[in-house]
Amino acid sequence: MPLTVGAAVRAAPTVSLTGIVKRYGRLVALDGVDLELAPGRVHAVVGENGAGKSTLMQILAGHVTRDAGSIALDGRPVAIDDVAQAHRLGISMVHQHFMLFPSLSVAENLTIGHEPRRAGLFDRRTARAVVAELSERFGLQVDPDARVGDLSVGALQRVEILRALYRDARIVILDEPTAVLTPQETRSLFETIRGLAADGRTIVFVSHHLDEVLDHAERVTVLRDGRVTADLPTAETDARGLARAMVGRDVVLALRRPPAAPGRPVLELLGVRAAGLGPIDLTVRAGEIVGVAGVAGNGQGELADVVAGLVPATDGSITIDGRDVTSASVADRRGAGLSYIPEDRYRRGLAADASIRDNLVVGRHAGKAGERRWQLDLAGIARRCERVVPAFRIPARDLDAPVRTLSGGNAQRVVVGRELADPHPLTLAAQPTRGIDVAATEFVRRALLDRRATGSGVLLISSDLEEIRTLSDRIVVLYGGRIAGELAADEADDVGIGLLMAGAADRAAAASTQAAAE
Amino acid sequence: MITEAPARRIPGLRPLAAALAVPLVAIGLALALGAVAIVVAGENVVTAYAELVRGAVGTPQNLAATVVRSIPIVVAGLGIGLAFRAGALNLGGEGQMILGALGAAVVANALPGLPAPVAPIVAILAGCLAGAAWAFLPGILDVRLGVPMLITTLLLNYIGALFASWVVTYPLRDAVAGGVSQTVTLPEAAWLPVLVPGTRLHLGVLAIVIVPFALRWFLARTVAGYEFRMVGHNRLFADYAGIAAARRVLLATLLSGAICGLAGALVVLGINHRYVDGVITTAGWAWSGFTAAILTGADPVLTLVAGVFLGGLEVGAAGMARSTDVPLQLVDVVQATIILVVAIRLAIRGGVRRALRLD
Repeated sequence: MPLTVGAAVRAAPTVSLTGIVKRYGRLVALDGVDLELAPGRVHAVVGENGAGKSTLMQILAGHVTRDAGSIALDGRPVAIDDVAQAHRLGISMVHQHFMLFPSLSVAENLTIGHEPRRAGLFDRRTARAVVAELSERFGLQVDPDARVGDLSVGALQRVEILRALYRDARIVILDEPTAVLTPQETRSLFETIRGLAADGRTIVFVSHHLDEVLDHAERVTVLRDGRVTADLPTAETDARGLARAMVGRDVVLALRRPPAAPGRPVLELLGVRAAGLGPIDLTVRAGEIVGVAGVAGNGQGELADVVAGLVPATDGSITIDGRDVTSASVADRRGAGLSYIPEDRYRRGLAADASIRDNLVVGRHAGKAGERRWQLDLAGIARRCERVVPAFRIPARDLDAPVRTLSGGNAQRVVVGRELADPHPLTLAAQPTRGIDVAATEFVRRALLDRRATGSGVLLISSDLEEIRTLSDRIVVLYGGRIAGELAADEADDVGIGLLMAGAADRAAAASTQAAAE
Repeated sequence: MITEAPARRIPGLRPLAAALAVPLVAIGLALALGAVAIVVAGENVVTAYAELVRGAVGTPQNLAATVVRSIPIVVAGLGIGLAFRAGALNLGGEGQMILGALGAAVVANALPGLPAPVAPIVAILAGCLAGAAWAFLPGILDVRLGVPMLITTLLLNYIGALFASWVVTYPLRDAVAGGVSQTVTLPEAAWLPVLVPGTRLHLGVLAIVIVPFALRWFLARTVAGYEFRMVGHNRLFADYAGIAAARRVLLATLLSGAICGLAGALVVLGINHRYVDGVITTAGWAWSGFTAAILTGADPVLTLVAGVFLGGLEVGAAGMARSTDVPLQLVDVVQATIILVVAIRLAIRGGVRRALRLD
């Protein structure tokens, strides 16, 4: 019923959202937002964290109900109160976190809710044929019989997009679609997006990557604090203009990285193995930043855990600033000179309900490294907060307020401030700018470069290639829990890194694959 | 510099007001529902509540009874709350109280020669130790093997009650007591002295004067207390920061058991002067203490206030039941409503937070 493959696609209607308001309690997520989506165009929505981008998209897709405002298709007001209504109107959303059933096949996942039936039963053959046809027509390669649980992240996204197309979505919403992709996958995603637009469908995507927006969208809407601060064709703006609209002031996007002067090794991994990791040989020297790239789930988390002492190494040795810490506790490793910005700030890096003050002193609450006081040194804690809060521009009027009252970027300043306030020979930074806005990202990256300038070694684990390339002196790529290759910063390009991320065995193989491709 | 737009900030209630908002709403709703129950029982709400207040604080004797009743409630609430603050879900306050009561009675009877100031102190320490010992098994099972303490502590309440029952029915039964399962009366040197003649107000009241403030100081000002709080907020965070979370959870469980053991010892040394079978479970002290702890977010000083309130409610309701047709079970209605309101409030807060995280 919902689809006749190959039939002429009805042109997408013009979508107009007018005066959209959404409140969560006292928090105003959207404050009178207007958005117009022209048919057959690629539209981007950008903004800092908490600006309201996702909420706006979820309202259009029927996942969230609005408190005020109206939505019209081709000037005709429509009600979108739930997902089913949105689907009927041809609006479908591809989520940041995929909503698929891992134990079912691609064809089953795609057709769920609108299954082709024969004699009242699921018609598997038709489902497979429809999926194969769609997949071919839009160049989205997936095997209809594959179990979804076995697919890579890029393939999962293709399944999500196909599902929207199966429902004959004429307006496709993508929420941060490139956050989880390799450069190659990103490129093919945007080819698909262009194909869909050429087919007369409207695409709207949310992104943190301004380059992507400028290259692939025709029009961009910028949100700040729940209001539209810019809405214009991408041809009439640039990254600086967008960043200013997002942040409300000028932002320095390019960071100057003076040449490195690597000194003594501050981290040495020799033949380190752990569950899902290794063997890994890796050295970080004082005064350099070593970037670890890779598709999410290839051992980055395990590498961070094993260096920080959160999971034991089953083999090999780990040395921090000359001290063997292979079997040392987290506290001993911190004493040996480790500071650590963890990947997930609310899960690991913060106690969200504890005060900002409590969060700023953890790890140092018992005194200086190696000290084991009995009573809290309240005066010392106050001095430390007085030093860290202005230095890391933590907007805290009340240090006793819980950390959860801060926005994501400001909460990350608490983590970064705590970990970088004191000199440490080694800093481990895992996804330090994930999900935070442009201004906070700039700030954190500067802080890491300052760290390097003062002679610390930094091990930077990031799935953001641009970040890795901007900050790192050397880049290693993780694939399947091992180091697939190492590149010097000046010889690393997206293609070379991307091939290693996709599993090309080493640089030579990567080079030959590349040559063969050309 | 980035500042948050004022509209996005969750409004800054003063911490104390914020801490009091939930308990007051809960108590208000509970009393309102209690009023409905009173009407159903065919009584006048004003008269009934007036009788309740008079029963709780109307005369010096009643006031003393309220305080005496509150002592074990407050102390048990402090013990249970301390575990909660470190993220250890100790629901075994009752079992630990029973063991504390039994331990204090057994040791006091075993050492009849001790002089007055020493005997109660030794008995109290024995009670604390017994309570801690009863908490050790669930603590170590949780920390080492991941067996949920919530379940083990709850089940050990039954085992503790039956064990104590066996002890005072067979090996340590007071032979002259007829059909009652109880120990012999403790040597008088071990009794906690009465402070105000003509009332039953005993020296154990010192516990609720000292312990709440000591615990507040401990949590706010010591390294161990800070670590308890951080482990309670987020165990992964504590691990990450190099706090040995498992050891902190175990220590908090042991301290919690010891404080609950103290509560039990105070019942024996201050009220009954012997261990009587069922004396802890019948009165439901530990569960009233649990209510006081969750009602106040396990803040020690507020637990004191809530514990005295609940003690007064119980004593006052007994007075009310004597002089009106409202049954004593009104207390259960009020307490259950309080727990329900607090639980709903916690669920709502979780839901709102999930909603906020969508963006």
